[in-house]
Amino acid sequence: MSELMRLQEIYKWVGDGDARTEILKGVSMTVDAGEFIAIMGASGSGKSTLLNLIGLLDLPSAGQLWINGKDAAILPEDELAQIRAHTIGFIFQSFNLLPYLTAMENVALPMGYTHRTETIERSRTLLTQMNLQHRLFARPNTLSGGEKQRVAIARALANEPPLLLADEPTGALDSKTGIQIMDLLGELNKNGATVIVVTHDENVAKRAQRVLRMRDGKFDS
Amino acid sequence: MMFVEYLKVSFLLMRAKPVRSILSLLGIYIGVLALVIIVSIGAGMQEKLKETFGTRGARVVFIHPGFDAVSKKIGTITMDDLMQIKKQPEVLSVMQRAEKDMDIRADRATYHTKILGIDDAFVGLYRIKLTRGRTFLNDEIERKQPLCLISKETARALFPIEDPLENTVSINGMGFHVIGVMEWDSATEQRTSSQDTGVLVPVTWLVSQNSVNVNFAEVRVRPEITATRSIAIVNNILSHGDADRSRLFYVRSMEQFMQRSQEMADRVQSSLLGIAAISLLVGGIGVANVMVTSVTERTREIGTRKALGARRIDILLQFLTEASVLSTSGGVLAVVTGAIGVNLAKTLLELTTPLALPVEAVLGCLVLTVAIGLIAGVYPASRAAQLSPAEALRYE
Repeated sequence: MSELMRLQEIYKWVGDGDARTEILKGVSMTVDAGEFIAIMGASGSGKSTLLNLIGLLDLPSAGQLWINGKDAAILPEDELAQIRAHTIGFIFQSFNLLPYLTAMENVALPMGYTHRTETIERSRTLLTQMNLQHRLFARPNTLSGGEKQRVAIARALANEPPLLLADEPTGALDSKTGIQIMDLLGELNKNGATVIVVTHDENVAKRAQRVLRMRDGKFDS
Repeated sequence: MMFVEYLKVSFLLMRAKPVRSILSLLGIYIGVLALVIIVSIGAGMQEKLKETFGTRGARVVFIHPGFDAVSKKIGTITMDDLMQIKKQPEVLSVMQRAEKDMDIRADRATYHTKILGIDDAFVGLYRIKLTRGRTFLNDEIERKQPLCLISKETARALFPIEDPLENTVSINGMGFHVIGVMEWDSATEQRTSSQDTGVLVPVTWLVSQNSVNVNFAEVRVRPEITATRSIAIVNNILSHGDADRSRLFYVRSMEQFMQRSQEMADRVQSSLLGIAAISLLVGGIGVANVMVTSVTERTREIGTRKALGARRIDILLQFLTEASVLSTSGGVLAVVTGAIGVNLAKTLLELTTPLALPVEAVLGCLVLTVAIGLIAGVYPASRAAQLSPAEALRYE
């Protein structure tokens, strides 16, 4: 399998001198295309910080991060943004849908940043795949939690990214809806997407091919 | 095209927070409204100047009698000199005026008013409104016919019951036949620069009276002659070849005259513009303030957009667009209400200063509000663009 991403001795700290707090203390891993990885750990273990680095939302303080063979540390911020737009789809715990846009407009949003055409048609198709064909013009505050997360997943798929990152995707949902969302992610993985899920729910982690457990800024080994 | 997207978001947000949006564009609204009012008064004054001094293509030179401080003499514009000027090939026409306050008697009443001595071109040139009767004929002026036009006020005072037409009034012991009644309103006073005029008589008769002289003459010269040359032609005849004598007259061209009025109008205009500029500055600060608040409130949105692939320039342009839309909306509202107000004022009020709202001024106002929005948006928008995506997403 081809390598999508490689992390080598990654450190992340905030503050300086005595006030310096290390969040990640030497994390190494590779992500291959088509994998379904779960990152588990208690809160404060550094798993969300790690996901931010994998998602190129933040840069490591030390160590190297390679994405598609490129060293993320030397890429300018706007190029990182372009890689995010084309390569990574984000799914958040609290959905982060824009409240003033309809479901379709939310799904179309990332396509604006990649200058895709026929965004309306594609948004409709994606929402239909998520069984939301009756909610195309609904605003987020009229949607249920499960519907919101499905709109968010449709948005994450808009630019056909090879990598999907989900940060506690079921954290704000009831267990039944959570199962549906995880089924959906499993299906997307079967269809070729690489999926990385951060969670503290064992049931969620069970679905992954590989589970990485974090404690105190490092993987348990 | 992302710009359309930004515009759409801007309007959606304005709709989502109407009270805040209205408060923030109020400053711009007031500033632009002030600007619209100032501009329309200014443009109105300009039109007024053109109307008042309109020369219908000719070059106009004015002659006033002057006082020479050296010889302590007052100049006298004689009919002979004016005849000489009229004979010059460059000169199209000469119009002279004289005036004197006198008693006018009718059978039962006496009225004290200003008598203006005029020639046959006067009524047409100054657009004097005749409510009844007719104006003087050239021949009647030349032959000093004892005919007169009286104002409505004079008519009311002298002939409360009878018809003033076909009646006779007595001026300086001479009987004058009333040939018409005219209106002498404030617009007429401005055009002729002659206040409280009650009677018009042939200038030829008035200057033949004791101690009455021509107090103003207007010389129309062919348009191809320069202003300097026109003044020289007139001065040459008035001076009788004696340089000292030319100090006894003020000879000025219309351009010089208009320039002075123009300068005054400009000075008023620029001081008013200063006031409008201050309110626009305050308006701009209002927009900037709302944008800073908006950026803080929407930190998570900015983080989300960045996670979804927005570059710094995308975020920057989005917030700049929002600031401009906010500011321009205020400008558009102000221009629309201003235009309606100007038209209402024009029709409802009988304004001595007319109003006008030129298209360039409207476009100028709109460009200005876009610019204010852009300037007001620079700080909040660049703050939004610089946010770190990870931190922005953590923001509660």
